Amino acid sequence: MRNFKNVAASLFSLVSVNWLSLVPIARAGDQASAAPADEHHHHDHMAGDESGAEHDHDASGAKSDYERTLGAYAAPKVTLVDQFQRPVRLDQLLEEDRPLLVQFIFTSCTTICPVMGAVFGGAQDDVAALAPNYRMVSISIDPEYDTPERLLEFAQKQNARGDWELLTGSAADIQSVIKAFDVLYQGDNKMYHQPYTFMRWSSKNKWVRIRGLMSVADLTREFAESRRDKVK
Amino acid sequence: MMNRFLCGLLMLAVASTAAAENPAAGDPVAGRRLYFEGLSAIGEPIAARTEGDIKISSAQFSCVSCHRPSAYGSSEGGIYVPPIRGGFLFQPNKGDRLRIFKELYQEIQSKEFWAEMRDPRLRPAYTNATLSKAVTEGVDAAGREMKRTMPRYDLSAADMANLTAYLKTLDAKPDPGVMPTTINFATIVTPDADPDATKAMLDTMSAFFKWMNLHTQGNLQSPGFSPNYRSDFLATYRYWDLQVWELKGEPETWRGQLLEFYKSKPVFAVISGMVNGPHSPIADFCDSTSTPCVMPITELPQTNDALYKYSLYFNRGRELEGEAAGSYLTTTFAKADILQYYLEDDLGAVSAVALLRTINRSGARIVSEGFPTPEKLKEAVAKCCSDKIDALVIWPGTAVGQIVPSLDLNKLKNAAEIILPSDAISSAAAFEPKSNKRLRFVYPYEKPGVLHPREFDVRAWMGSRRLRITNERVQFQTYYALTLIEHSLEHLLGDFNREYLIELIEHEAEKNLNIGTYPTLALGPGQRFASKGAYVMRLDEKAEDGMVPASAWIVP
Repeated sequence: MRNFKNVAASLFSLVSVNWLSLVPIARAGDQASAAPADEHHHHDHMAGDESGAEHDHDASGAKSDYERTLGAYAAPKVTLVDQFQRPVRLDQLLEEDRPLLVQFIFTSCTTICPVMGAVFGGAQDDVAALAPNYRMVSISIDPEYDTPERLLEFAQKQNARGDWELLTGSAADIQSVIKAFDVLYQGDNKMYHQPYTFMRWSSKNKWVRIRGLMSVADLTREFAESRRDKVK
Repeated sequence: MMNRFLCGLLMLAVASTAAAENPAAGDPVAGRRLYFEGLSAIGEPIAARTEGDIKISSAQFSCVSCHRPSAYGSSEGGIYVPPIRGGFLFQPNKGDRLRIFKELYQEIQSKEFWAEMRDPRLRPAYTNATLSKAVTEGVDAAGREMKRTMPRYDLSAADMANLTAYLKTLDAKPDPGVMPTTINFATIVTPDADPDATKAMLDTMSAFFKWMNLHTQGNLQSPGFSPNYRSDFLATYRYWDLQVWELKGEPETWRGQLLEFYKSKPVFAVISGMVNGPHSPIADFCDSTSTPCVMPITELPQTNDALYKYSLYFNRGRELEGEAAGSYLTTTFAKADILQYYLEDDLGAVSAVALLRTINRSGARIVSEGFPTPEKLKEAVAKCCSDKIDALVIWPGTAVGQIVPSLDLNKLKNAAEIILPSDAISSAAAFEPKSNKRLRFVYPYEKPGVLHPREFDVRAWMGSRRLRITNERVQFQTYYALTLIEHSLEHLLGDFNREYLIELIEHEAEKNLNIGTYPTLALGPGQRFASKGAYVMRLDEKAEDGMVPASAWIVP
């Protein structure tokens, strides 16, 4: 069909089998499926190694479904704007020698960003208990829509404290940040973005990169464990 | 006339009366509020948990945020959210490939997502009891634990009954305008719309409809030609039918005329349109009949309270031009000193008000004056200006062709820059290159010389239909509106629901459909303006199209 050219190849390989009869592939987070090892899909393009993070069962009994990798990321020298209209040099902000938690969101996003916002919001106490000088940063991937006012509204919904910066900027600058942190979404369409969170305990540690949604307990544990992996 | 929205309310009201007699039946009106606003029967948010331990409130995590206004669900960020209309929930899920075809094949998703979609999720029909278990405990009708992202709500039995009652009002039937073999669309032309531009738009639409229908005919005439795939879609194909709704008289009467057109032949959506004058009466029609009105060509869109409404626009038109001019001036000049003159018609006033708002936030100095006639505006401009100022901003409104050529640029030497709207560029072409150096134009389009890959496709398509390109911007924008509809119908595959159509447009607008008239075209949930900024241009006879940017892309 005219507009399905891009999927034609996958179609030919798949439609020959009745898709319903395909054995369901184990899904992380599915009750009786994936073993923890299956949850960690290796990123071939990642410079960092793969850690064997263990995902404990939380109170609900359901497993977390995120993958954790380690890497080195250098923030571009761009000036973004925060929720209070203040200019912020991203590279300088992320060079500060204090524990950092960075996530990529957009405010009109309906499914995963509210969850990501809520996990930062809900984890503020636990994170502060581990590291009082922490800094949270949420970077918008829809900068032309996400004005500082909209970011402030997003922050207020999560009872964001002063240590949480929400950033927007020009489309080109944000694109350079997206590339630097390797959080590119497919088809140049932000609606296909994935939930990414980055943590770094200090400039001596590697960045922990997490793809997937976390509980507060997951986030706090990953944050505490980010102390472990030092840059060699 | 009984519109769809009223119909829905009436249905809710009837069921609501039933609920009063039998509390266990639930109140669908209260259920609707719970779905959309997350408020319980007593008007309070409900506590919930997501991802295991994140404490949230239903005010922020109401059903609508993920399952969307249509309740057809969504897929975002690698999370699949299933449809929860009563028409699906209370039927067994036997695995309908069409319903997840887009997730399986048309969306560009991660491998994990595609793998997840191949889990068929068969389940028996929900009952009131199993649905309650799903919402409060996260266990589906087959007894499986649901994803952690689905919040577990501390819902009372009464609230659960209300929500269930609301979901039961949502069936799986097609919306108005969809017939067994055809799907009705309309486009709208207002009085005094430019006849050449209107013809360019209608010719493009007519060529597109003909081409679509030829494809549909080909597919329907050879059933079984593709047993594993396209032949499955045969029941979802419809011939496209276009009505041209030509309006007469004053804007105040347009809504009534549209309701009459709609009554005689309802349409599934309104595509494109040539609107000279305010779009708000048309937008009111679109909202009151729940009809998506997709990408009209208008300088005066309905910008107030546009979020989640039924009109989707290219940009905020002249309001955007006013704001972009304001942002440009406050960043170009420290403590800018600005004089603004405008014609007091819709076009002129909208930009002037927007500029004033932007400037007043900045601390720059502005004197602003409106004039009732082009003559009075001309006189005032001729007297400008005894003192040096940073910028003279002129919004000539509909009198652009009269005001701009009459400017005596040599006499306007006290203004460092003269700011004009985008449609003044052609009128300004007659000025001597030496004298036009201080002219600036707000330009909410892609700058000349930037190539977008899609442009080539569109040109080739038009060439092979022997469609002459007489007004490139109008024809390309019309083509974009048409492809948004085409693309979204291919994604909804027979689930002919208008809210779902809009949600799919929001989801897919950012795909590679941009025809190149704007740097980017992108929407998001609830967003209604696909392009969000503007350049400020200056004339340069050596450059392509005679102009170059004097600013970066400004997003006010």
